[in-house]
Amino acid sequence: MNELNNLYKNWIKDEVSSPDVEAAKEAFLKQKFPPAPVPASGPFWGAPSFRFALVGCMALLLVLKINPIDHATVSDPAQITTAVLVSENPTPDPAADASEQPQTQIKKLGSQMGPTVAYQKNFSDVQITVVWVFPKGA
Amino acid sequence: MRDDPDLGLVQQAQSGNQAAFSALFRKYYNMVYAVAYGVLNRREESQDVTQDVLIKVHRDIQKFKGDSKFKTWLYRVTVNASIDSVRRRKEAEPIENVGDFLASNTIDPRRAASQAELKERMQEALQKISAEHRAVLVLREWENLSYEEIADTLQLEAGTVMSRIFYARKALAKALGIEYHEVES
Repeated sequence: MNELNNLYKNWIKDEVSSPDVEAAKEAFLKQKFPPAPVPASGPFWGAPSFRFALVGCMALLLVLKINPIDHATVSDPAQITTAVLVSENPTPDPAADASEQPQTQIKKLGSQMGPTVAYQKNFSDVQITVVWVFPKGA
Repeated sequence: MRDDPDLGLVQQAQSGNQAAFSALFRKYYNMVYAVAYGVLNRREESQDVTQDVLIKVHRDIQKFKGDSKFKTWLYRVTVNASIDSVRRRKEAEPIENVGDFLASNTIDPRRAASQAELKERMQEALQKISAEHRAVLVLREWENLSYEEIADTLQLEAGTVMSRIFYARKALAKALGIEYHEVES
């Protein structure tokens, strides 16, 4: 009888473990019983990490309300000047051809934040811009 | 209420919790399919019956009163649905006498050309047995239910269950050319 039992059990086991049967199972379960939506009082919203993030956001909003960021606008540039940097060498060689050196444009800008200077320098096909802002009182 | 490991999920499902339904059905889908296949022996039909059973349970979950374990109730619904499906497609008449089994259908499984051929013979042999016999066979041999549990599930007398299992095993062994000696394991 053991042989009969084994044959029978293997016959059903092969069928139940068939990939087609497993695929049909997943398709049916997803179609008929989709995952339940996460409730507002569920584990996600009640998670300590979420609560901490929520408190942090609220604190930040409170701080910004008390001490708002001064959104200074950049006024029209009061003056634009152009200077040629002949050389970075402290003792420049007057005989050197100035046209061979990369030129740096220096622009002085007026700003409510304070004195602002923009440096622009071209390297082959790359332009690098550095903006210095000197806050008022600094 | 009996000690039912599914009690919590069932109560949540009865409250309308779809996640509980999903968990229950994911847990028992294979079981329902195995029982259906044991009775029907046809994949597509078994899949249809499995889905019908789960949809019915989903719809009628309130009818489960806890008089038995949920799993027992599920067995009952599955067997009934499977037997109904068999009746609808006009099965072969159940054998009354094992001796009527055609000897020409028997083969020596040790000489079977392939496992696939043996599976085919198993399927053919099972088709010679009534749906009611196949039901008790799958509950006993695959689900490992006791005679009492099968009797409780199918609402039969224990003696009827034993008798059906005896004849089902004997018929199957005859069809497969296996020597059969009734030794309860």
